[in-house]
Amino acid sequence: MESVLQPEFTLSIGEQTAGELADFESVVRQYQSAIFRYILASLRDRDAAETLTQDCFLKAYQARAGFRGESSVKTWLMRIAVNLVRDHISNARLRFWRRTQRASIDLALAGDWLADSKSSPEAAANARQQVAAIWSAVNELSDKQRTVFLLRFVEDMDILEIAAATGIKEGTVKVHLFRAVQEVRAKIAGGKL
Amino acid sequence: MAACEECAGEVARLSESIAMFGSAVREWSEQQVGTLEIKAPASAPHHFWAMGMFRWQIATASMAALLLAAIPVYRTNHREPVPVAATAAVSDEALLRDVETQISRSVPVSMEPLADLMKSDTGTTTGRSE
Repeated sequence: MESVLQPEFTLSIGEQTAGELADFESVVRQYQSAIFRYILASLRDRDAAETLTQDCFLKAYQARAGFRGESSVKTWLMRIAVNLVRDHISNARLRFWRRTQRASIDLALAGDWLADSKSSPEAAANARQQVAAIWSAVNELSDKQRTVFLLRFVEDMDILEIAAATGIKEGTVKVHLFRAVQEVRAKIAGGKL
Repeated sequence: MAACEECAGEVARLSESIAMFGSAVREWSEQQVGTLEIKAPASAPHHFWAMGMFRWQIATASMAALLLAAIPVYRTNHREPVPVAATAAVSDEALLRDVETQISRSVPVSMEPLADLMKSDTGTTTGRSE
């Protein structure tokens, strides 16, 4: 399981500094895909993801004077995005994630997301099935587990970056990640992965 | 883990599946991001602040108009009230003066023309008798 989690204990600050936030348009260009991707994967709603991505950069712009460069710009932006997603999900009227119909539409399309087609139709079908199974399993995770899981395996952030982005202690991040992987593993066990 | 080939195999398959999931989500997101229109806040302030200033100007002008309209109404409804006690005192004094005037008259007001006539007559008579 350790190899699955692959914890990295170095915080890559990145080349961005607080001064580089002065050119905010380039910041938006550089990070909009990552922020949008995380929000989209969390909410599974394109319109909401676009709105929250816009909100994220607006908040970042308003708070840019307070950025001290203690983390990378991406981690800083991701923290804002995590908070926005959390607030969005906590709104009972907008629990898109729990809408099974919407999730089922996503699951039907899940197989098409794989860019690299497998060598054989059978392998491709198996890959699509695995992705759909994990997508469904992630659906069942708690909000914190899902956040940590997506940041780790979709955004490729390490433990310290996830801790900085979520405001959760490093040890707690590891616990959430471990449990998330266990949950996913248990729920896809029926697929004999 | 190293001693258990089955366990190692399961971990490897799980790692591969999760990695595939990550790739799939990234690919899906890339497809969605194609039409994404995120505006940098730095390019928006002109419109944003212009709208803000415009709204403030309208609000300020509206408040000023309301105040100007309210002043005459306020003045009408809030004229300097005459003290009741002072009014009463003035009325009492006028009444007393009137009463004193009436008392000091030798004849009632309605009979004053007759009294004046009699005074004239008396003077004439006296003149005649003299």
